[in-house]
Formats: sequence, C-alpha cells, structure tokens
Amino acid sequence: MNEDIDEHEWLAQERAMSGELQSPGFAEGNARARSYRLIAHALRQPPPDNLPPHFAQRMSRIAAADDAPFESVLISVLVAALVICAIITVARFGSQWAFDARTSGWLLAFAGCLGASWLTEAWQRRAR
Amino acid sequence: MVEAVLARRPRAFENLVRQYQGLCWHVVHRMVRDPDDALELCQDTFLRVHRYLHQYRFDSPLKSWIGRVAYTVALRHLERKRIPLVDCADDAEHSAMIDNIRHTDDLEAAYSEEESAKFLHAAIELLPPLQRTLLTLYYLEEISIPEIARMTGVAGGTIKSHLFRSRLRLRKMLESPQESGDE
Repeated sequence: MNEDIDEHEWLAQERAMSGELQSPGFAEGNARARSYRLIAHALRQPPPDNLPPHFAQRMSRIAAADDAPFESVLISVLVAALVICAIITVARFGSQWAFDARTSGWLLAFAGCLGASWLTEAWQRRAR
Repeated sequence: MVEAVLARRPRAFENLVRQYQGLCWHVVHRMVRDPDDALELCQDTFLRVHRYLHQYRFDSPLKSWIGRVAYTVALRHLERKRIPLVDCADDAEHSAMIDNIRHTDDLEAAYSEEESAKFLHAAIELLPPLQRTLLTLYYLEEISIPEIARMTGVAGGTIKSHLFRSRLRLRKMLESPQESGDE
C-alpha cells in the first residue's frame, strides 16, 4: 500500500466508482460519496470529439498503400539481382553458346514464362 | 484476428481498427487534447500496429498491446512538443484556472448536477496528460491497474497514487473551489 494514500478515502473513491456503474445517480450517500459519484460519472463520458465515421476504412487503405512500397522495393532488388546474374553469365559463358534447336527451346520457354507472369499480373489488376 | 491481419485477409485490418479505434482515440485524445493532432496520431498508431503486428507475441491481450502503441505514439508527440507529462501546471496556476472556470459560471447554478458536470469536465481537462489518461483508462475503458501498468510502463503503485490524488483534487475543487486554491 502506498504511504501517501489514505485507505478510507481510497475505498470511498472505489465504492463510488462501482456504485455509479451499478446504479447511476448522485443522490446516494454523504457529501463525499456524492462528489465521487459525480466525478465517476464525468470520467465515464467519452471525449466530445470523435474519429471520422469511416476512419477504419480509410486506415485500411492507408495500410494497404504502406504495404506496396516494401513489395516494390523487394521486386526491384530481385530484378536487379537477376539482371546482374544474367550479365555475369553471358560475359563468362556467352562465347561457348551455340544457338541450336535446344537453346531456342529454352529461350521460348523463358519467353513463355515471362508472358504468363505478365498475363497473370494483368488479370489480377483487372480483378481488383 | 491477428492471424487474419497477418495473412492479409480482406477487411481483417479494417475490423481490427474498428474494434480498437475507441481505445486508441481515448488514450491519444486524453494525452494530446488537440483533435487534429489526435487524429494524426491515431493514424500513426494503427500504421505502426499494421507494420509491427508480426512482433506481437500473444503474451498480453491485444487491447493492451495496441493501447501501449497508442500511448507511446502520444508520449513521443508530447516529448517533441516539450509538453510535460506530469507537471503541466503548478498547483497555483492550476487553481487559478479552475477559479476562472468557476467564476465565469452562475454561482447559484454551479451546484446543480449539470453545472457540476460541466465544471468537472473542465477541471479534468486541466489535469496533467498522464493523470487524465490514467483516469480515462481506469473509468472509461474499465482497465485494471495492473493492465494499465503494462500498457503505460508506469508502476502500479504510481498509477494508484495518481488516481487517488487526482480524484481527491477533483473532489476538493468540486466541494470548495476556494479550498482547492489553498492546497
């Protein structure tokens, strides 16, 4: 127990708080109890100002937009890493490559993957 | 709810905001008072909640965790603006302000319930930010002292002492404004 707290006064404050909650009104008890009930009633009132009506919706949109920069930075880093790897690979092994039917097949498969990825993204954008 | 937000399920975050926006508003508004600042800080709070929700470890209720984020955001705002958390006005200045509130009202009507409530609201607004916030969490949000301690980082004994002294001060002001000036 704190030394600077008068136990009787504290109990009067707590009784008024629970009493006001159970049966709102200020007439019960002595002057001290009535004052503490008034105080309890005033403290239970919400602030006069409120959040805007569509705060939650707006917050949801802000949060979604906040997600996007992280994703775009991540994608940029991955694309940059891919390009650097491709340049190194071409510089190191490019002279050994022979463009035969097998190589063309892989190039077509790569182009197909790019096309599928692009189409999926376009479809998702339309769905949104 | 947390899992749904982390899985980015549609409307999950919106529902979370809707559920805890009242708590956030009460904490932040009581701390900073200015409605425009409070709105901005509430946005900041929920943006932080969204960014760092993956760090929530379920070791305390989500309400406490979000309340703590709101309290910390408001606290930093007060620090930036150099507004003291506890001693916003010394006793003499505070009493003078309270006297002004009393004397601008009709003294005959001052003892009616409506006028007393009006007086009390003004007196509560003049309490230091920490005391206002502790009273709001205790009365309006009905949060226990140990939970408030977890939310604010203020020791339970200190919270109890603040609650006791704030209520006693309000009572003295209500019963006898002249006496409150002699405190």
